[in-house]
Amino acid sequence: MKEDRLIGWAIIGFGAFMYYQADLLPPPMFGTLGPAVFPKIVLILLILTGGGLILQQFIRDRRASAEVKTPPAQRIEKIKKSLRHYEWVILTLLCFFGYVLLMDFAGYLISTLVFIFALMWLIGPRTRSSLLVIFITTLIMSFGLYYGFMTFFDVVLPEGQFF
Amino acid sequence: MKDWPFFKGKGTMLDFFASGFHEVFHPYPLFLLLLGTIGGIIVGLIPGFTVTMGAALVLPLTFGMSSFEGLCAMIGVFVGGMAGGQISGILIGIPGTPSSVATVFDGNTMAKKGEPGRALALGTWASFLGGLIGAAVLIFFTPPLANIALKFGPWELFSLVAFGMTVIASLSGQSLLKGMISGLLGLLAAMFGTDPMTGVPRFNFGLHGLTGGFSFLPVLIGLFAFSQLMTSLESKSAVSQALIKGAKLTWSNSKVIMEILRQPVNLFRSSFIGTFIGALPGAGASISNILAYDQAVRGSKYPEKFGTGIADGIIASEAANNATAGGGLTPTIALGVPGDAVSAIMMGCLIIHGIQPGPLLIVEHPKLVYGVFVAFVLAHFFMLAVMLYGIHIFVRLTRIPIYVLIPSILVLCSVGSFAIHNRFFDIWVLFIFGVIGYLMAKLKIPLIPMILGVILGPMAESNFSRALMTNSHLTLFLTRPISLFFLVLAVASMFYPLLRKRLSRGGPKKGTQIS
Repeated sequence: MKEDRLIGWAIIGFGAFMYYQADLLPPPMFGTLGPAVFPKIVLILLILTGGGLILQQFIRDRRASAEVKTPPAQRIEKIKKSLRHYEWVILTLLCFFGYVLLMDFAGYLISTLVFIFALMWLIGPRTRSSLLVIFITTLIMSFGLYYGFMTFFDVVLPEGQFF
Repeated sequence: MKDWPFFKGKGTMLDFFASGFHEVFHPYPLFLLLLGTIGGIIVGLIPGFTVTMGAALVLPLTFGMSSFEGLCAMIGVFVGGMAGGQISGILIGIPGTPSSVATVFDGNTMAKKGEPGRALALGTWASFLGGLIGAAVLIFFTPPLANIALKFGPWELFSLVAFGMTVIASLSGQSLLKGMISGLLGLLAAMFGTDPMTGVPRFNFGLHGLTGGFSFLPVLIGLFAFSQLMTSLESKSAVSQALIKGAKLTWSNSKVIMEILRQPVNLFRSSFIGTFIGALPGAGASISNILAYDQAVRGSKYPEKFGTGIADGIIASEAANNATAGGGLTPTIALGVPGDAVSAIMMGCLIIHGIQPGPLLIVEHPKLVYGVFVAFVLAHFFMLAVMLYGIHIFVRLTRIPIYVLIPSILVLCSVGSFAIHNRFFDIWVLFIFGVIGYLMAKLKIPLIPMILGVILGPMAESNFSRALMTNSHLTLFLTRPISLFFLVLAVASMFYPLLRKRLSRGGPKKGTQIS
């Protein structure tokens, strides 16, 4: 797979950055063992494995026959197709990101009401019967969970700045 | 029954079995076990949802319980989930979990021929019997294994973790290097926060939330539940698969039992394959059901009939996947090295409740361990009853639309992540690891090594440090026989993928991937 090369380089870059961070940790107080020793061993192995992945891809590329280039029009069509394939995933991730931001500000109840209703509305069918399902689920997941966790687990979910 | 030296002065093995029964046979643990079993079956039957995801979602709910009660709920999910996957596999043709992939080959065909009830009953009874064989292995092999492990020093324990990590890396995906990357990233994630030996803060990047490191739970839910939900969204199919038309769910239990018992070799062979695969770190039910099915084909006098809807294929697959649970719990309890992802989550449940898994678990908490044994056996009886009597209800659950499930479970994930430490930062951890997990899955980097790295990281680092503090010579890792044995096995396991490739060239092409 072509992306293996990319993964390899990303791992090497990340490993090198973290190794630099480990190097900034204070030296051992006594002996050779310090807080950076084990992380450095792991990071060296990580960088080597990333290198191994690049090497493996390089060998595969050499064995493979010459690559046929895709025309630009087909490439655009391919990108459009994959965007359609991941449409719900991207939408859900954005909604969840907004949900967490909103929860910090408005608390669990308001943010969950908005999030569940919005996401179900966006990815679900927009019929009368589904609207009822969306409405009931929204109420159960927001109020039900909030009071359930408070009553049974003594956990107060984030309250935000309004309460 | 033999009494193990570590029980000396505390009681006999029978005493602990009795106390195990005493622990379980209370209304609340029994209720949780039953509830977990039902929950496991439901998670198992929904295509795209895995048992691991179910266990990860149940984990936050165990805060308010004792460690044993929490384990009861998780055992229920484990056993129920392994059996539940067959429902959608047989009736829709889409396995609910990867552990039921091979069940579809004959189960769905049998259902299409007009015998869905018989197919489900065969799968349920085979799951039950296979699970009990796995439970027997768990009960009889855990104490001797723990007895050996008690003699381990830090060198052996470190090498054991190294062995566990390499086996997982080589078995849980298609590429050894990607498995290793995943495991090493997990080890690295475990190092964020305060160094356990020196107390020095590491990799906190000035963020207050990172001072204590990543909480285990949001990482786990992010990797296994959140990322799985994103994958389910790709298909955009709101569970539109139709159930087999006119499916009559009727069967005769006595006929089904006799049908299974007439195949003792198939039943025992598949169960032992399941148990063995389960005990290997990283290799779970998604491999064992395929392997058992393959062996059933090879060992059969009529291999050409497999795939045409015969009982043999269903028995092989379902006996193997439920036996895997017992196999997976054996090294988890005896050594503190989980055999699969669900066992790893159960280890997490112990850690959350302040109990350190490892060889000392059975010595320090014998009642808990024997309680787990009893609960595990009992969960199979619950599974059998719930499956046989509740099948008509469960069938309807396969129709819950995905647009209802996904937002609801995402909210549950956030609440569960927040509730453990009442820390808002953990919801961000959930989101970040969810995205990481999803990207890893898309790039075909297995997730199990990473979560095992997170769990085993502290054990690896502390034993490595203890070994070097006792004696600074690294050669001791190679000169102590047991440590050397594990390291040799670790190196050998790296060559396993090559062997597997060679073997698979001759076998049927039914590849699957651990989720």
